[in-house]
Amino acid sequence: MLQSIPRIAVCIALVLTAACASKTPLQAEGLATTGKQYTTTLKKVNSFALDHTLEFTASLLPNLPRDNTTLLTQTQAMQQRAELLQTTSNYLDTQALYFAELSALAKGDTSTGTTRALRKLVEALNKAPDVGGIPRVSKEAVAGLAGHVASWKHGAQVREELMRGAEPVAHALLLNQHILQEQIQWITQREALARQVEYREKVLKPFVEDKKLSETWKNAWIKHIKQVPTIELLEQAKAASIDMQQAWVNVLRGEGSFEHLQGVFNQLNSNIQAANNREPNTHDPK
Amino acid sequence: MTPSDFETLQTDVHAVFSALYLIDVELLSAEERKQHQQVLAAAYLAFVNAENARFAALSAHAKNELGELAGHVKMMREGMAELEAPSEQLGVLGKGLDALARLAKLL
Repeated sequence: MLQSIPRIAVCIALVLTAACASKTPLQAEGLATTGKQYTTTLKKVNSFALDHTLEFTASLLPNLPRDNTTLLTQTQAMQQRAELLQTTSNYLDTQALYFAELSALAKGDTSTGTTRALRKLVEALNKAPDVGGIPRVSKEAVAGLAGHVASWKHGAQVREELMRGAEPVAHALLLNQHILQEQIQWITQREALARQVEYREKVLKPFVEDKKLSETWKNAWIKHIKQVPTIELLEQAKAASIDMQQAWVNVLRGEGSFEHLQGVFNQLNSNIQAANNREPNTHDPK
Repeated sequence: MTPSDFETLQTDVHAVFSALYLIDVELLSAEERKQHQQVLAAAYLAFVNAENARFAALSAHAKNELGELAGHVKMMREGMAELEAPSEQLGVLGKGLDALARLAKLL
């Protein structure tokens, strides 16, 4: 029994050494890249949400009273929408910058410039966009997250930074999630209406009128049955956004990696780009 | 008005706008088409402004007035639910033009 004690001690020492020597997700390549991919994805959805609303509104306008007041009020409402999406986009840029600076710090860039930039960025993240249409998220929802920082896994400066940034970053990620949900709702509601009108005009009417049904009719009928690819894409973005929140907790804990998320965001980015290039699915209700 | 009431109002405004959007204007008379255009414009503006608004940022006066208007929008939604003929639906929705316009202005 006594002989086995030193062996156990050696084993424990080996395990501890291995744990300390393994890279945290911050030290490994990843946070800056994933953070950039994440914010780029959300910015693309942001831009898509604006384009989609503008397309829908532009198609609706010819069916509204053709007077100055109508055009002015509808234009102002869209300008307000564009403004709030621009604010969201700026906030996402701040997050990407924070992830890049934190990654640099974790890789050994302890220059005053980096630490000062991080401090400023956390201050900026604490000032969540305060414009209409963007939901408020209670700071209590992420309270206590600094307690997840695994002190023994991070260097002193990184640890200090993580303690300061843990909650503001988690709050920002949660807010992004809410904004994304709002945007998904804007798109899905308009998409659903546009599809119903398209079905009535392009499928139902030609069919019941007993006219000769062309290839266009066949394609419209098939399209109506299939799920809208855009909606599926937005749901994937929502899932990836939730994963990003978990990844942040893993960063604090000094465990996990970004490999999975990088693949997901890469795919999402190209799919959203492809969806942006496709013809918008908005219709004239006439 | 509570945040939850505001969410209900947003849902009702969406339902009213949807009903108007889905009316087949080919089935309406020339006069009805004009009325449809006006109500559709007011409903869409109210819908977008409700999306753009944040309840917490609204003044106490606005919240009070919204409480009153919410009742009108709810009545419009319920009133047209059982109707099938586009002109009948428009008849119910058209009566709410003033409420929708006030709502769009408040938000």
